[in-house]
Amino acid sequence: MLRRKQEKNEKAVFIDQDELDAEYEENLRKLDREESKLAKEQKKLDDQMQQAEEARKKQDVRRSEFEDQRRRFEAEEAQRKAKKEAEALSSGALQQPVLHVQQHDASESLVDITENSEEEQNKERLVVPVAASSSAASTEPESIATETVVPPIIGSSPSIFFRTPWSKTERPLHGLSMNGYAGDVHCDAGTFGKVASIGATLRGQKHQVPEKSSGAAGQNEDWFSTFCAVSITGAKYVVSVVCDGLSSASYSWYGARRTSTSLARDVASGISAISDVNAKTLQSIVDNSLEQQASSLMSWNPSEYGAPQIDPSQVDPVALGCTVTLTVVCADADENGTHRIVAGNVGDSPVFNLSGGAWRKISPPDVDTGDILDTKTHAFPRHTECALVDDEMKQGECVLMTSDGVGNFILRNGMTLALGNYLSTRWNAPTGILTFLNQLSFDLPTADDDRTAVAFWPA
Amino acid sequence: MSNVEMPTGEQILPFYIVCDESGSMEPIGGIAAINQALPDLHAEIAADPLVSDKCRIGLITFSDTAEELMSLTKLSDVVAMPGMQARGVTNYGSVFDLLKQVIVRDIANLKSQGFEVFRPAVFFITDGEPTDDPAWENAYRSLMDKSTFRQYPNIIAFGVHGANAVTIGKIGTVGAFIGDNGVAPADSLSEIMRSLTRSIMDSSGSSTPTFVVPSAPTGTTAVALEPM
Repeated sequence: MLRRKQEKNEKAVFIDQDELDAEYEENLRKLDREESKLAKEQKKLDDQMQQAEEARKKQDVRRSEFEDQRRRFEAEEAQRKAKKEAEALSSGALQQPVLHVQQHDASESLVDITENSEEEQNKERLVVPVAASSSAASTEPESIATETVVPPIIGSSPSIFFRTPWSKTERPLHGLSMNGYAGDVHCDAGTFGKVASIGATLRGQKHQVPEKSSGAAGQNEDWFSTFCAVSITGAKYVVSVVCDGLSSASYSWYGARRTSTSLARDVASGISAISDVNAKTLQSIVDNSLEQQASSLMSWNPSEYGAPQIDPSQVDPVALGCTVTLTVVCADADENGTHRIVAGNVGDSPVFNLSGGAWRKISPPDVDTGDILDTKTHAFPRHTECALVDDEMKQGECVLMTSDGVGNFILRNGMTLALGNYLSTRWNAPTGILTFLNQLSFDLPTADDDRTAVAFWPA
Repeated sequence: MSNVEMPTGEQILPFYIVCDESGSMEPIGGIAAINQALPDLHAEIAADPLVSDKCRIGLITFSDTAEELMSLTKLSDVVAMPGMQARGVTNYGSVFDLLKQVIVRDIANLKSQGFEVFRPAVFFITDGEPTDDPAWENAYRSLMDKSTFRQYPNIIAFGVHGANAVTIGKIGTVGAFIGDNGVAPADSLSEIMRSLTRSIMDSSGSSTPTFVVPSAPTGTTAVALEPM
């Protein structure tokens, strides 16, 4: 069928009606397709909007939960604080002894147990919280040990180790070692000639915390050995070696114990064969000893005392890696009361001189690493070079060897740190052995490495 | 001067977790996987007193721009971790610029509090190629230039889904890992988050803190480092 199609101002033309219908149908389908496409896009947009809205709501909920938790936490903190203050007041009223630490008075012992008089309350002091408080009313025996002697707090607040009794078994912080030789405390003290010396090594917190898998803890990877020596001329010397096992080395605890003992013994023996003892004459003795030990280090019998329970052929020598620090102190003073000393290192465990309240590093020299700490250090047996230097210790001074678990917190790039400041008025003269151990147990967050300190004083 | 007023020399290891939150992370389940893993990381680190004392964690995200979602913090002081949200494209340059500013600020801040600071460590996580290629390389070079920026970080880079192994190898300085084909990116990301948590625990747990580079997380393969 033909229909007339006339455009405005144009001549009339005739077109096919079927063709017109088909064209119409096609346009209709095209519109449908576009509509469907638009609907899909709209749905996608809606979905995205919805997802964004859900995410926003989740964020709001999380933020709100966060705020609630913060409020609860603050309320609980305030409650705890109020309770603690009330308990402190209550115990004061009962005239019970209060344990306190005096941080600023250098002339007195650090830890005192005093009656809580009004006069005492006026003194500047820090009340030490004891984690397992014993209630006066309780008749139950305490199953958790509490300390009656507490170490000095060097940080701004007591660490969790300070607040937690060592015998606590729920989330324990002080485990026994699976392989024995935990080495919690090892101490040698005494005099020789005109020199007094105390040396001690303590297992660090890092090696006290039990592993989750075994429930057992690690071992003290530091060690030290102190020997006496007499030269051909009859002059007396004290020889001490501090070794700090590398934390990355599996048997460094054995390496540290063996190397410190062998080197100190070899140097003491070497001194007995020479007349003049100084850095130059001792250098060959030290070099020979370290070379010989490095070559024989990997020979032990697993059944012998203190040896690792493994055949040495299965162990890489690096697994016994440790730093080595040697100090030889002449036990006889010259006419001015000065003692000659010789010191040297493999690695970074330092030797200091304390004079007039100021610390000076004798060895090794500081390495400038800028703002950033460097963990790399030379270690025996890979390195055996130990350059010795001559120095001296005058009357009223102290020479101190330490592992980095102590030395890192005494002096840093020439600047005295809080621990250095604290010890400068405690270790400037011979101190009590138990006091020395207590002071070496200082509480300071992140100071969790094993600690070794060997101090020498003119006696 | 009392001890408390003096620098104590406490030793701090700063870690930055840098996450891609571009739009493509949403459909692959990446945002959900990371948001789910962050509270676990928080719980594990905050529960360990030695680790918590020694490490500080920062969270930085990037897409069109980079954002510091959580500034460097001791995790035991944090009540809940913030969450990520997908948006925009994958602009690497902005995050390397921000990282440099943040590291300078944070180290100065820590040192002013008397802390000793170890070299910062960065975990870089992405699911795609940079949309600002090659402009991002200048920002990266500025961050890693040892001669002009002594506080440059160590970086471990992780790539999943559309990430390119060569680019990931360029960014990582001590470790680089790419998600395996056939493993759902969300699963790879969950493993990556577990792996970086372990790395933080091991690094801070050592008595002499050292950045412990993890072995390849399940569902990823180590790629060769290609220093730029």
